[in-house]
Amino acid sequence: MRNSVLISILFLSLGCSPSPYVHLTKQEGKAPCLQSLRPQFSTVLYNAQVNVSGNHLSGLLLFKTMPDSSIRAIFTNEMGVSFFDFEFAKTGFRVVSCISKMNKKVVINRLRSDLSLLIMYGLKLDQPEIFLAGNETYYSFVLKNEHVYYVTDVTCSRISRIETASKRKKKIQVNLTGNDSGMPDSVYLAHQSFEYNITLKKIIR
Amino acid sequence: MFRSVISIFLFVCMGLVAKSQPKGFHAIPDPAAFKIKLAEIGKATQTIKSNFIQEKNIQVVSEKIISKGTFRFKKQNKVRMEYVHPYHYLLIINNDKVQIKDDQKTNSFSSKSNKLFTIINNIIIDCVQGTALDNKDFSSTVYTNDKNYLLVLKPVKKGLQDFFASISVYLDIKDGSVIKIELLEPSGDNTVITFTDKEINVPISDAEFSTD
Repeated sequence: MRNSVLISILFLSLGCSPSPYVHLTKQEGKAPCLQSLRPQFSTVLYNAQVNVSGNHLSGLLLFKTMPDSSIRAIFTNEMGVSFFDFEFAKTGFRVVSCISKMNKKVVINRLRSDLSLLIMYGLKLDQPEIFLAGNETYYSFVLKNEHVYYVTDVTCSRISRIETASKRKKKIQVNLTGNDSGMPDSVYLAHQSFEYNITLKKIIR
Repeated sequence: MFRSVISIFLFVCMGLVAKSQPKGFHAIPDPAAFKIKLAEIGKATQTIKSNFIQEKNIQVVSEKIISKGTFRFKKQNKVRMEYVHPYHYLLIINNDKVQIKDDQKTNSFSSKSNKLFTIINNIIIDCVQGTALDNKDFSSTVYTNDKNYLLVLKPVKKGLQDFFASISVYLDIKDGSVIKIELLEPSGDNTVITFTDKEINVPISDAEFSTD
């Protein structure tokens, strides 16, 4: 009892908390299935809403798979004015175009990371660590100093959410719906440590 | 020899003129008279009610995004542009006040604080009110053919040049109303907004120019 109190005080005094992933049980020898859940699509158009620190921005986000299998993410406002055009290719990430107001390293890197999560870009999908928690399977990858978790049901039929975390806390949670094939019907991506979220709703044309 | 040089010079000049003119159009013979005509048409236009089709062409990925909606204009400086398919988006300009309603929020702000959103509608307002050639943000050239006037507006300020290489406004030669607007971006992508089912000077309630 005394030890628990001391540990709690220690965590509080250090301003940190135990990892939210301590409940995960590592699975050895389980065959990775995530490759089959990688989004396959030709063109997907989303209505996008972005909220950053009290500012609100909306527009249209187009994902398109190109003949060379690279993926383009193009964001315009509703009236057709282009904001950015990013390329995610096997050879690397490229900013094709970006308006000067958004063309800042910190903004580009943030958008690149967030969009990469959705299209599973830059991950070695056949080499995850696999964990179990209740009815969910966590497929974990290490990217720089972060862990990325793709959470599926036990049968690995669909991805229900994506999470990123540092050693001690969750940083991003992405909830997905309707992603039985291709890209999800809706996406809600929320940063946990500051007000920044993206909502995407698939547009049926 | 001298004749040959003159001929070649004229041929090159004609080629340059032909290249700089939009296909199917020629420079208007009397720009001053056109400006007066545009102002007269603007004076007579109290309201416009129409539908529109917007086509965004993203050349490099060979993709088109087509959206549809309704357009309302009422003197002075009131515009309502409502996208109804395949997404909902409402933009209202009521003098200096701009309201935007999307899936999540309704935002109100001063038109002076967000220039981009109001540029396109200000161009429409300028055309409808006959003041398009007075806009100091753009240099303008006017062309014509037997059906249309064409105003080609080129941004003169760096901030606008980031977004637009040029804006082409097509007017009906009969009544001077805006038929379509083409926004050409520096990348070569363009957005064409075509106005259909136009009704001029029909009653439109002021209530349409508010999201409240």
